Amino acid sequence: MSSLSEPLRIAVLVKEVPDTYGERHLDLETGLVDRAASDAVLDEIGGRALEAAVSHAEANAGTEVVALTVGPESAAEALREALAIGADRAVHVTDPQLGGADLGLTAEVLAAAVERLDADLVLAGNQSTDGLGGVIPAMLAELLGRPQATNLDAIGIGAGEVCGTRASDHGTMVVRASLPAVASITDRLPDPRFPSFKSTSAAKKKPIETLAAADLGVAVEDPAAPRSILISVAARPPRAGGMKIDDEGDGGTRIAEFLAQNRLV
Amino acid sequence: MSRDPRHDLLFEPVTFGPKTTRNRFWATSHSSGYPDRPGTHASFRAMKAEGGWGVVNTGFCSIHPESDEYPWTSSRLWDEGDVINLGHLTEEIHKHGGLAGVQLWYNGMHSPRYESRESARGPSGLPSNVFPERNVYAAWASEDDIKALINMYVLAAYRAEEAGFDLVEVSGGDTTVPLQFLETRYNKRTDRYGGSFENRARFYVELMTALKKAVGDRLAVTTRFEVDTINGDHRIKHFEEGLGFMELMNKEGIVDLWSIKIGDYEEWGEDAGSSRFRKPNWAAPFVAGARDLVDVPVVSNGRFTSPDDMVTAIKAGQCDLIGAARPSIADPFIPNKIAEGRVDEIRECIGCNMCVSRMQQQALMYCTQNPTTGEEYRRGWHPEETGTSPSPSAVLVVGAGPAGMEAALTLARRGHEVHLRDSAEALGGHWRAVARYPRCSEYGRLITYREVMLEKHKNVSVQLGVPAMSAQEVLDYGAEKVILATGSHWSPVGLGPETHEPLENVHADLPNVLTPEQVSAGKPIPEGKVVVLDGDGHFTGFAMAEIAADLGRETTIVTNTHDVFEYSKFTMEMPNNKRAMYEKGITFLRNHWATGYAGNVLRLFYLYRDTAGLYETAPGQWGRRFGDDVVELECDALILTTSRVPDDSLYWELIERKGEWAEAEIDGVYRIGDCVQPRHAMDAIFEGHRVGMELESPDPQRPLPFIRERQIWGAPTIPQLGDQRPVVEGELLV
Repeated sequence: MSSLSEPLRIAVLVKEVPDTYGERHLDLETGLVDRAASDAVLDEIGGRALEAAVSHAEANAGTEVVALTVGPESAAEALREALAIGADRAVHVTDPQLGGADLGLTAEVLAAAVERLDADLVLAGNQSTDGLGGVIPAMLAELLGRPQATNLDAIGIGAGEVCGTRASDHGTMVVRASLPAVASITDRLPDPRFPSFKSTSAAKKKPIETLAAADLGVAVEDPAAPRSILISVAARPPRAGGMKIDDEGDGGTRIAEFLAQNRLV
Repeated sequence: MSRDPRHDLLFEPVTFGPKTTRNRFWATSHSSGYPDRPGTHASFRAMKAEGGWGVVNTGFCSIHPESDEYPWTSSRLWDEGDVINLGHLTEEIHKHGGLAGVQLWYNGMHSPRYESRESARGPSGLPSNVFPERNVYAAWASEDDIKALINMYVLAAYRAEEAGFDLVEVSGGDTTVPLQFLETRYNKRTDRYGGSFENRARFYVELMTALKKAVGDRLAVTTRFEVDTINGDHRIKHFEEGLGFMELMNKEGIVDLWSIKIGDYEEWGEDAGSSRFRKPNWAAPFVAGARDLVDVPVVSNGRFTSPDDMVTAIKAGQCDLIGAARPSIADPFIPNKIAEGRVDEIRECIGCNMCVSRMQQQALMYCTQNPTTGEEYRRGWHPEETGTSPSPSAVLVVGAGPAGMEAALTLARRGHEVHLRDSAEALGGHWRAVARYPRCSEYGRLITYREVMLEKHKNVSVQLGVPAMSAQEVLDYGAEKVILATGSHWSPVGLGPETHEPLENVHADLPNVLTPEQVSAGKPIPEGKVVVLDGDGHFTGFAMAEIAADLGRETTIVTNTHDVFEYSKFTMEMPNNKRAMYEKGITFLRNHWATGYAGNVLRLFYLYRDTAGLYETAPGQWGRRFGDDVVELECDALILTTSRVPDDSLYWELIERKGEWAEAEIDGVYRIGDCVQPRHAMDAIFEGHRVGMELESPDPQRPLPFIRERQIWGAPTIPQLGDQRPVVEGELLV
């Protein structure tokens, strides 16, 4: 991939999520994630997108990488980590009104922030590991009126375009989109680097701009806008005890039957 | 976390004789090498009481100068001086609510007596098979001598009481004198102490009776009994005389508790079974049925580290109390961790027998898993409490092998901000491959424990699978302190301890020359005759030979040492090493070393091919007449376990750039473990721990002084010249 003549500005979508490897809980009153119940971390998939952007920036002087998030005040920690990994600056959209925002509203806010940033490329993970919505990149492309290259297993950022490969049911597609564009990547891309002590302390000095919905001209309470409505919320049912097979000479057959019945083979 | 109710059983009190212990955890008597250092010894044993063990025993304790274990180190109850020192020990154990036990030990023919220079007594006047090279015998005991022997035990029991012990345990294991009377192998008497089973048992019965009479209303009188010596027909077998003896003693009602074991003194590696040969609770079939024969509690050992295994053994009727020596060294806090539902934090014994090996070298005992063992008093270390650093800093640890993991964990526990980095995808360094050697799977616990604990500390970031760091990257990292733990590798050219020269025409790049790393990584071992050239003397050469033999290769070990895998003599694994080699057809050649390898011929020389005499070889020039005999060995593949070479290039690059440290805001670069000098994992972990504990010292590379315990000149001695010998001759004292 040849380097660009004009330096790019890449907005990378990052997100604070409850630690995927720990216990996670829903608040059964609000239906929202109970953030106090888990450790908050930078979403891995966003970290991978950031790594792709930062690697590109290292090889292409002048490229600016901006980490962008919509989230509660605590999400500033995730942004600090993004800055430690190598983002140049961060934008934090935080507003009590946005608590529990659905995918559509979130995309609206993000689109407004991207416009304000004047980013050439929006890079995101294909789906967050908490909500697993997987539609934000497409919604953004729609709202911004830009082409999209989503679910990329490999990515190249080059002269006026973003390209990459994408797995399909029948093989691998090579996709390209001219900039400005929206791209999303999968967990096939490398993990983000571990920040060194130096980059962690340097991150403390990098700017984080904090914005409210109003700053972006987004009307949260727009009665005309379609919004998803939460109808019910339930805790995950407790795990039922497993089935015990005592081997009376037919153990193998019964295990095979069990697997077949449950369509596990 | 609270305790798993399935483990409640372990916390029930048990009464034996006049004493009641708070739970079922019995820290079995084991030697340590510490008794000449009363502070070290007391703090070491008391740590077990602090960690929740109900009963804490000392090591074997000589009752009289006639049974002097020197050059090994035991406790002693010879005089008032010992009472003072052991009094401190019992006080420390009592502070933490434990009962203190002492093992009364008289080994006669198997005690070298290098300090006291006395003559020992025994059932027969035979040479010791344990120390034949030391020319040790015992004198035939007359009936009067037998009374004197019993009186020695009685006087020792009185002193034990004075020192504050709660129980006296008669050693009837490790082939001590009660066992010598019982075994036909040692008992050639024709009087009422020899011959029939009842006659051979008489001494033990009279001894226990006397002790019960002397102290039995105040102290528990127990015994540690070898129920099976697993050594053939002329010894004790559990299903014959072993259990029969327990029945007989039970009828007499003179034992308050039985602690039962297997193996004898010659092969106490069967009692201290190493994980390479014995899985946890290997003694179960040998002690089966014992508990049903007696009306008092029974203790059984089996390198238990899992509370589930402990509960199973008790429920199965194997025992009432869980005995543990090595597991209580590796983790003195096993009981408390189970009690508090912190089972995942148990620092499990890996069964490497490094503890045993230090004892067998007449040295101080240390532990691979627990670097604080023996350091409780002299360095003020505690296995569970590291304290916090007065000046936390940002520390980069490069290398996540044994030393690096321990350093990172210790630093994290002390509140430093730590980054532990390794290019491998998993923790453990070279030890990960070691844990996959045949027989060595329990060694992996060394990694698992640290993995679990590192995860519990938010201030340590474990960064695996990262590219190997250059000096520039270290300088750019922003760390205040840098610790290098980059390990070592096996010499690919056969550099070894005999000649300290590479071998001619040998390099692991060749398809028929292999290092252990290559074998672990799957480099094929060519067919035919395989030679393992071993200069290491521990378990790696054995593992390589076994891998080759299991592939059907005709395998020979060549070593420069006097015996094959000589370190295993100290870990008590040599007999089983040799049995396994014999079973698998692995042969060995000792006192030889290689010079080169060409075609399929390995060229060797015999170490002693030169003359014994010294001659004037040329006018005015004296020396040996040197031989040049060459031994040629057919060899289709050569595996090199000759020596290890430090991976220290990063260290030397950083030293070269010392002038740039200040600008990079680096206070210091230190190195630990194999990259300084290859060593046992035990010592690498120790160094990792030490640097973690002492990072704030002016030069953490070098240890701070520790408390040295020895007699300082001018203090009064006990006894003094002119003192009388305590009288044991004559009638029984009780």
